[in-house]
Amino acid sequence: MKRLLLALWISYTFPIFYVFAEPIPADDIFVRPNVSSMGFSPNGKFVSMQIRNDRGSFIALMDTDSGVLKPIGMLQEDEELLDYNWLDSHTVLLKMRRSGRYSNVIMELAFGADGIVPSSKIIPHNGFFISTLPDDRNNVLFAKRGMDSRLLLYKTSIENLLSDRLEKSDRIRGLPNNASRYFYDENQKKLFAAIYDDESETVTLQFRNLMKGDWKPLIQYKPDDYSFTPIGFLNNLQLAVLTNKDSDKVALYEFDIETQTLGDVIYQHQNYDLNGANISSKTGDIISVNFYDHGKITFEFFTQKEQKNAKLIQAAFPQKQFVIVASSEQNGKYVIQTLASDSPGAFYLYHSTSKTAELIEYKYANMQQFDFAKSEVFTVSTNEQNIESYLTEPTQSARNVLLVMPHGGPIGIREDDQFNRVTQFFASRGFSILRVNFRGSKGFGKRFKDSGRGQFGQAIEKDISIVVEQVIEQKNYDKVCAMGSSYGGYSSMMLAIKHPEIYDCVVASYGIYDLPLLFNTSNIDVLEESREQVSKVVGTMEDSLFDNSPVYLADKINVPVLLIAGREDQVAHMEHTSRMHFMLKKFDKDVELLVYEKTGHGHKLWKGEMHQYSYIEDFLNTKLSLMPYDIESLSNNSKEGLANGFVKIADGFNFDWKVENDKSRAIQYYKKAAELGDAKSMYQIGKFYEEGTDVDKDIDAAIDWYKKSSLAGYGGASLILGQLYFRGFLLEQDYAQSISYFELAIEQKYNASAIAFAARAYCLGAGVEQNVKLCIDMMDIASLEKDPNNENPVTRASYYELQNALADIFIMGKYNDKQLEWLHQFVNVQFDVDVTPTEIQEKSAGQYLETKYNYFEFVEKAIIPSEFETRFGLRFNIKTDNIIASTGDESVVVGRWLMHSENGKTQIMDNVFRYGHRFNRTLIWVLNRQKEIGNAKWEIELYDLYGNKIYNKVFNLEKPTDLVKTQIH
Amino acid sequence: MHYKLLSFLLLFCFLVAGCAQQVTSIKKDVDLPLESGMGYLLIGIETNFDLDSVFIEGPDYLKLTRDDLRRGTNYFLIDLPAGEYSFEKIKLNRWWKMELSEGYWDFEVVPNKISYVGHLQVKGAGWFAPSKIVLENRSSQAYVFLQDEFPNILDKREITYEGPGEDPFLYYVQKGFFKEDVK
Repeated sequence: MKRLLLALWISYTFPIFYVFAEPIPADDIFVRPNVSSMGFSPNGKFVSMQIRNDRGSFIALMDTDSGVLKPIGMLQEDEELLDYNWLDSHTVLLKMRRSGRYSNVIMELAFGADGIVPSSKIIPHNGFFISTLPDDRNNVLFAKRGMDSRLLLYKTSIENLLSDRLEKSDRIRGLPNNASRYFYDENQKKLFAAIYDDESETVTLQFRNLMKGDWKPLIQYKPDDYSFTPIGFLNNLQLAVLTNKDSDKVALYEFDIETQTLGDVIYQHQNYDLNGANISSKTGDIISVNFYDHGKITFEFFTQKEQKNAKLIQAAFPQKQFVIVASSEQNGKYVIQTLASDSPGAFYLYHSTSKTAELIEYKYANMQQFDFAKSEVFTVSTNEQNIESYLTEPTQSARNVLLVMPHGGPIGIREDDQFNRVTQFFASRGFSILRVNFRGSKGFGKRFKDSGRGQFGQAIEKDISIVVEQVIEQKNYDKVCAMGSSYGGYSSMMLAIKHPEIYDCVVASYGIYDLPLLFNTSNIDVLEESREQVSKVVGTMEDSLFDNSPVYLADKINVPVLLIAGREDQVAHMEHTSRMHFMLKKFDKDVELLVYEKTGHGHKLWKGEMHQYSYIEDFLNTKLSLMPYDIESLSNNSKEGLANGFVKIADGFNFDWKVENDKSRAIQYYKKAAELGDAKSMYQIGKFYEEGTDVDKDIDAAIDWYKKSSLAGYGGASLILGQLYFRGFLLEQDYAQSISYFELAIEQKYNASAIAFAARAYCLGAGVEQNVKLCIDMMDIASLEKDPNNENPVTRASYYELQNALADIFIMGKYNDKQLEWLHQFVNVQFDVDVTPTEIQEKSAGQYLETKYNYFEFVEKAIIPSEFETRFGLRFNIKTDNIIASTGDESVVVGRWLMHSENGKTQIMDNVFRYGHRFNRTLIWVLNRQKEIGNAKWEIELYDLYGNKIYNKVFNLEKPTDLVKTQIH
Repeated sequence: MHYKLLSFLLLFCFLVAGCAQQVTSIKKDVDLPLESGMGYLLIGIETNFDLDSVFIEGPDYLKLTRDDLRRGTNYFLIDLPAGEYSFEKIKLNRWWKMELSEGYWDFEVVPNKISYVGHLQVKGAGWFAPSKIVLENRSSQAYVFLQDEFPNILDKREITYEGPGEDPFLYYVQKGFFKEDVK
């Protein structure tokens, strides 16, 4: 009994596994919002928005009376809505990116009994809208760049914009040559121009009447000295401006246009810079100002009506911050966005008359299933200043590890108390996160911001350390790591250098580590003007910079370091990371380097973020020797969340992406994910064993993993098993097993490839009774693609596999005339080609080689070297009796590549389906898999669609070492 | 008009080819005794398309040729007379060249040492219009290259950064301290 008690005590005191809350999968947190760009139609009848979901991206209108939400314009896959404006209650202007190019689209909405019917027209001019000119129903203000890159402005009708007649429209004359931006004030009907002078680094603001008149100067200032943002006209003599010209904090001032001087302060916060202000374009009355109070966006309203509304809204959303995204004054309706550190936010329609709010959409629909951690805001006072900080503790099951995350910049950037993806990703995995608004941060006044200049590795890190010391004194963490990007990466290294007693690891991304190098990175950076810009942030180029450069302090780092860099980073050049890595290696430190190719100062795509943070989590777990997961006790969601991270890392190592391939590490991470039940990882492991990639080739193990994967629900594995049974490759040929796996893949909703292969079985009668009609019906995946109820996605691969299946159907099948006619008819409809008897006319065949100046040709060779990247095949014409074929567009042949191995076995390597023009067709095989390398005869067979073999050619391939031996003998 | 332009360029190229010394990078890692006043030059060249040639003017007038200017990252190591040099122009292909402005592409070759002068980065969007030409300091990468490919030469020679600006990193790597720290 005593022994049992002791055992219980030990297991209680020293748990050997870590039990999670719910780790949020990277796929669910590093994503774009599902809904954005909320606004009211001009008559206030609809709330308009852009929605992104599984079915694509579209604009939707919500009827503000009925609450019914209707999509009105589905965007294509290559289209992205950037912004939109209502021109009137039935015309919307869309700013879009289509196939990577910007374009403007006019969408007309017809409201009828059948609902809302949109019709779109593309504006054939590259440019953008300055104003919809609400007081001029016929025209808009449009800007485009001229031949000399100057901005040209047009007051033009939509009709003219849609035609090529823009040049004839009212081009606005007398514009400055070098304006970088224009604004139009709809209240006072004034056009503003902003001109930036590179040499003097000054901004000049001036204004005039829209069409003509002299430009009146408003102000000239250096943005480095102070900020100056006009908000709108208070009256025809005064502007309201946000500036810190005469004050430490950005405040709202009156600005006298005539004398170009600041007048009275309209609103100033004692502790914080104002972040924005709102003014009525009709009356010139100030509506509100906003600022970050303890990291929360906070509004002060100026009118009693707005104050009352704000109180009611706040009461409706306690514990939440809110922003009025849009308002329809005539209907007393508002679109509200709620914000909080522990909520990704939602949009609500607030009715001020009934004082009710209804949900429009969650900003991130997928995130609703997770519990998020709340940040605690606190201020540490030093002799010099107050430092505002945010501590986010996991909701459950803390790992007792603190991640200190200095922000980038360091000047003019800040942390806040709103939803933060990275924070939540780590908090859901049991980490605590500390973010500090150290000196230099934005929002706390000019003095605070400027006090960070030239304080790299000095006062800034002192600020952070003061906060860290206070937190660890109170919380007693087991481990502390510093982690950050850009300046945050630098700061993380310096914190570990200066406080080795506190930090247990460092994760530094896209950082700078050699401060003098900032002045000497290239022949551009050594120029005086470049160095001056750097000096404003880093301080002057002097020897003391070496004392604060991690590269020259590498010997002082005694904890594991993960360095992450973008190969094409133009902000923190890769050389910084290379040097840091080199020096840490030189001193034999524990350092890991992760370089993203084709990446700059961070990722442009979410996929990069998913990979990076999954990788970091794994680094932390490994280097801090954190407790492994108790898989048995994990919920399915937790398993999925964790497996998701391993898959991201494994895929990075396995596929041709942005990080260096490392197949042995890929399989290691796939195995971790497979252990957590990830079916797709099981399939990948199977492939490794089948190919013998970084593991001993083991077909039994491969089949075993494919079967496990299929059983766990991955349709891709079911599909491959179906194919292996069909071909009799690796497995004994078994048509019945084959069709059952294809049917399982369909059930598992893999993609329409499985449907094409199942169809093939019905055409051939392979494992099922022959049913050509059913086969043809199933092969119509083009119709399936349009079916909203289809659960098997029709992908590019599906169409490829359909052609693969058709090749088998015509080469292997036995049909009566009627059946053959149906099949030919199917090919005719699907591929727009008439099926006729066909012959092949070989033009050249052999190894495909570069002869000169990037010119490739087929060179006939008795023996072709069998090595990676070797290409071989043929060029041919297709002869047909088809009269229409005289255009050269009408022909179709099928075929297959066969590999006859030395052991006498023949394997079908791939099928061929070629349709379209008849001349100079090529078929090329590229050796790119280990199993293809070796001595073998490769054969290409071509057939017409009557089952007649019309061509074959054999290529002799030998491994180069064997070639040498042959020559010696 | 095109014909005229082409003729001019061809003539120009012919004249240049007549006086520039075609040089290729050292292939063997053997540190030969350098004559007095000679030094090694190390240049990194990173390009996303094959370049035709790069011309360097100075005590010797040099032409780097296609074999050392392939797409990707190339290193060019050669022994030559010490002195002040400058990248003069880059021939992108048979027809197009870029003249480099004076004063921004200078470097020095120091006697008896390996002078690393930077990575000449040439990036093009089209086949004749580079979007970026810059001389970047990638001393650590150059050092690793020598460690991997020319360890014998590196073992016997000091490497120093002699490109635009001042950078003591390579000195620090080899000595473990800065020049200024020597009392």
